[in-house]
Amino acid sequence: MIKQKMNKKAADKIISVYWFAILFIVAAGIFYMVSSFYGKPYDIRQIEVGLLSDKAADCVSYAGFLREGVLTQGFKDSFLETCGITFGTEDSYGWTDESEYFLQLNFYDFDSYQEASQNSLFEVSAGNQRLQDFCNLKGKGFPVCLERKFYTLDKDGKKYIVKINSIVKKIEKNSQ
Amino acid sequence: MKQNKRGQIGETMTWIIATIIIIVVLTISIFIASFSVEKFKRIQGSYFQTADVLASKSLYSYLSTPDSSGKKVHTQIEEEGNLNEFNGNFGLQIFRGLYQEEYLGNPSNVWLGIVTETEEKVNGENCENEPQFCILESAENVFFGQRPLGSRGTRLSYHSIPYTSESVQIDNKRNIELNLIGK
Repeated sequence: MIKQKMNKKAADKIISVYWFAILFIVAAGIFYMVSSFYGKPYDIRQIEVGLLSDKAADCVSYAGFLREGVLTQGFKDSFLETCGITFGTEDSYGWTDESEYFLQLNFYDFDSYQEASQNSLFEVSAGNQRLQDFCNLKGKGFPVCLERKFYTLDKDGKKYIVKINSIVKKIEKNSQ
Repeated sequence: MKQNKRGQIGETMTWIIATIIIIVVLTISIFIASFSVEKFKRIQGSYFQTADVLASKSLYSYLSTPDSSGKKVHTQIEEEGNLNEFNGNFGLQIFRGLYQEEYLGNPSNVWLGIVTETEEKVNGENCENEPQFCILESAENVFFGQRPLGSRGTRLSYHSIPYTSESVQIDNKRNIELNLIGK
């Protein structure tokens, strides 16, 4: 009888240790799940490239017509300032050494425009040109690229297709 | 003594199975949490899209384009009430040419045409005090066909499917509308 009681006490102790172990495993599991989900940043680069493209379009065209002075060297020289775009980033992962953005506008003649057209009438760009090399590659750890087009006119009624190519890199934070 | 041992083995087995179940459920949950990061943490622009800035700019430029006689597309539509040979084909060239690929590659997802506001609700009553329930009627045209979301509907039902709509007023009742569906 005494032996049975002692046996029961020992069994209870083992079960309590087991319960603590299970509790610890479950807590660690929940902690891992929560931290793996909420610890990673939201990847908003798709929105960023869209905004860049919209901002650039707004900068060159208004109410259906190209803004004055867009197809000039002066606009090319002060593209970002004129459009009110800044490519600044936080000082981490060496992002300040090389731009994490690229923005390019190509103006084509509407009547002679073809999808594969290489020679634009006018081109303006800013940012890190090397990012263009990654746009045809598929996979997780690459910059996000967006190429969009719109139709516009100048004051003389000449028709243009404007192709906007916007790229955001920031892969270190978004592709883990 | 023997019975006691059997009881102990039975209890141990229960706990071992319980432990395995707990670990399996936890592992599955961790996997789901890790993979859902991919899905839920990548935010697409189209989630919040209510307008397509570039398509809107193209629409304004399109309406300002003159034909060989110098008459703008906006004026042509205002006078003729629908698309004609010049502005219909030109519209196809611009809107299907530039945006069809972006909107699921489906030609019927890009529609340009005339939408007219009526003064009645679905039940035939006057909608003067509740303009959101006024019936909108779209005119079919030979270039873009029938409006993909239906030729009749209220403003509320017109916006029930995720799509971008750009609209320019022709007169008090008529608008020229560009619908881009999908993405």
